[in-house]
Amino acid sequence: MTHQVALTFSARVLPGRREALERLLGVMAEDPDGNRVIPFARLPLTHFARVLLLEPQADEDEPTVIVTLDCDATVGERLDDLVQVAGAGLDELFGACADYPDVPTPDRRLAYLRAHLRDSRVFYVHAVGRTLPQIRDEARLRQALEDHLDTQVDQLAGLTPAEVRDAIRSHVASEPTLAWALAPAPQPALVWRLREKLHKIAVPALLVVTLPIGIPAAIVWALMLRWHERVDAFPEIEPDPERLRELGDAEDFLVQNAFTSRAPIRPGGFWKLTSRLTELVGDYTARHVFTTGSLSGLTTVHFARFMRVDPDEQVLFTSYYDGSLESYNNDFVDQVAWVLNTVFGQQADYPRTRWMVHDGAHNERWFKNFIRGHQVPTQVWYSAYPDLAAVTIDQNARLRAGLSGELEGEELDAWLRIL
Amino acid sequence: MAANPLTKRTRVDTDDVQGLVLQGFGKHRAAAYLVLEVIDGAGARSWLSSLLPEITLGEARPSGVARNLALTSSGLAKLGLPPATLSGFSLEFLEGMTSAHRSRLLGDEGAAAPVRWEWGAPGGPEVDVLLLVFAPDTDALTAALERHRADLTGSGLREVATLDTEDIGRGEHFGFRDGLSQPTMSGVGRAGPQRHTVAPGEFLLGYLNEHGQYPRSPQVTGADDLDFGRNGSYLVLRTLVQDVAGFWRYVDRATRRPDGSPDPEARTALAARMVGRWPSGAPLTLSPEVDRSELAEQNDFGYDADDRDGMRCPVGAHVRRTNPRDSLPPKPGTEASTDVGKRHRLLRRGRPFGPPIAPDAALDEGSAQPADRGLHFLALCSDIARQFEFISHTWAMNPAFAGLLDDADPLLGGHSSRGTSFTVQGVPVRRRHQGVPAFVTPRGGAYFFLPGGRALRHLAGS
Repeated sequence: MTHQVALTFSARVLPGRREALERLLGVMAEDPDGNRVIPFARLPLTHFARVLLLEPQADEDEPTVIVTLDCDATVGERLDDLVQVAGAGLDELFGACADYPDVPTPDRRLAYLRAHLRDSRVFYVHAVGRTLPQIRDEARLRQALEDHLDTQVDQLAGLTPAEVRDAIRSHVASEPTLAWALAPAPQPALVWRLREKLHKIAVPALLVVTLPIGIPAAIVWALMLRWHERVDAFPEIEPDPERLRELGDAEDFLVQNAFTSRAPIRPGGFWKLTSRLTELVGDYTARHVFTTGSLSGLTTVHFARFMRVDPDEQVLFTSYYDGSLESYNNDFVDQVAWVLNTVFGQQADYPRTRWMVHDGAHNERWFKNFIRGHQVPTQVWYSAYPDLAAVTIDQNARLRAGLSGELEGEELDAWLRIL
Repeated sequence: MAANPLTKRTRVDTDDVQGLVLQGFGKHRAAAYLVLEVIDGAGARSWLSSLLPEITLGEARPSGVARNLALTSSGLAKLGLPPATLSGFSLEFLEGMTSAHRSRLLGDEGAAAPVRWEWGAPGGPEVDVLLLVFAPDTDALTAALERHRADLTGSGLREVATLDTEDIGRGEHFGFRDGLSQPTMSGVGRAGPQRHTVAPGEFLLGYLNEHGQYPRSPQVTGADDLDFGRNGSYLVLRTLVQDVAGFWRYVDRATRRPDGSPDPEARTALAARMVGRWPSGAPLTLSPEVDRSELAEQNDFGYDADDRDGMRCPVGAHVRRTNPRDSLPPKPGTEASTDVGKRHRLLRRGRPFGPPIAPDAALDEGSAQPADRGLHFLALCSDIARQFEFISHTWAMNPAFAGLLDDADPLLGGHSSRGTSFTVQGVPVRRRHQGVPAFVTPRGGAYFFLPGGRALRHLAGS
């Protein structure tokens, strides 16, 4: 099986085409799964997708179209899929944008997409390596086992946990549609894992080598940070209620929500440098630390990424999360304020931090104003599993994993409690 | 408003706070709430002005009739509060309980949809003012209501609905003791267990909340400069109809013996597991097998130490999911968990309506025309989104709450196609009850603001 990849396409809208494009996004939003432009549900191995229109910035005249896909690898295969599935739909969408071929062919569409691919600075995946087929299969497994258990409660009473597990395993083995679950989920490709492992080791090794320069530099940076935190102006914004209402009108239809924000970095080279550094830290931790279902204790984010899409290097942040924005924000404030301070703290209007990790998001009102204040509408978005919370997906994976190998004692009890 | 810690006010200015925040008027067994629409702002102001001396402020237990008064955002606007001040209220208050977005958050769909409501429905008469009247007995209440209705004539207000309440003792209609676990507001001189003691800013504007910050508060600027929100509280009112017969019939059917005969003990036990307390109020976490009424008042317990996995009180039980105590991240079982929980507490002041009925009688009651009964749910808080709506959406109605698969609140859910299971955790495996119908249906509601005394006087123009 495979790891996950983030695809982002960015294209400048042609003059005079904005309104038609907005109507087109409206059509897509009505049916993200099957719309005629990009029927996302027909894109293989695609977990989430979104299309949005970013307003022009000061020096721009026209908006920018952003399309993002969160998929199972590889990028090349997903691009081919996109060209094949969307076909002429891509002409409708990107035909309104600059540099699109006048006479599109599959090859030219592919070349256009490749030319408009943008990198993510940080790409967070809830559980690295868990593919879309795995998520769907394990959800079916969970449902089947829950239903089976409903019929077996009385028969299982009095059995030991080990006996209950054996009974469940025999049931799975006897069901042709479930027997696959007795084998553990495949891991991402060996080459990819080795490359990631190497990155995991190489980065700290490189840091150790550069310590003689790194330590003095870090001290200077830390002092400058504290100085800027103390003397820079930190204005608090109050979002416009009308805009808040519009954003809210598009939220809380499903288990998940899509979030998009765009904010400039605070003025000055120091904050630019710091945001670049924290992106590197974010990238490293997303790749090597927060890889198994928990973002420092936060279990509600499916995918997230930081990008730079504008000429003036504003930060575009996108995520898919479970629950309401209120609960998303409360989790941030209550549980992972320091993480938010680190990765958002350099953005304009973020509440004042202290030594980067302190204060900041702990200022609840200000933080919520910052989040809502820089949120932008997500006109179209798609989820391949709109009724699955991330914690449920994690449980389903644990349920499947516990069908194979040895389990005893507290581990076995905990496994039975999933059901 | 100064968010300067030097101006930190730890004592609550109780004389300026409407009584309902500080007491439930428990000795006043009779109560009714008048829902009013403002027809003429100037008239309504003078009506308010003459009512002012009768509004009960502070902690002192009133001997006669007690009255409190709350307003919706439309009510405040009609009484002349300028837009600049109004915009200092929270979005959800300004938007109101029945917007499409708020309905999604609260699970008000299907039979619970606001278009079906008897009061507060969109397009219906506007809900502007809520007059809460509490009396020592029904005679005194009747007299007070008569007078208030007479005062309304030609006053610039008209009655949209009268919400009567019924004294059914200390319980609610399903047959369980209610209102046992209330937070204690610090800063008013009463001590309670640490885990239930909550900063005044969680219930009143103008004070530090559990984040150590002042809640957003509407301001009046100019000559009569005033922190309008100070000593005021957001008031959530929902008229919830309870299908008592449906509730007991469901648990009766789910607990029949193999031969089909009813099992009253198992029936009560399942009902108790849905609630999280026994009929007496005794918490299941402290007494999982039998109802021990002597434990009813014992409220200083957590879930993590003895009941982490819901083997005593199911994880999805109503009281456990609406007040998870120490059971949720961060660090379940510690003060860190309880402290985060304190950001999601409510002062509950609801009262039942309709005639009481015992479970056995409810089982026999004809399903054709069950009597109208339920709860006028009333809660006070300083942040509707973070407190009331969060509890409803993230905890009560969330089918994946705390690791559950498809279980919404067994008492409040049932109006959506999702979350209709109820799981009783057990060894070696759980028992799942499916197809739990809706037992509680909202039939009215609105977000109000219960201003402090000074703000009321400002509003009345006196």
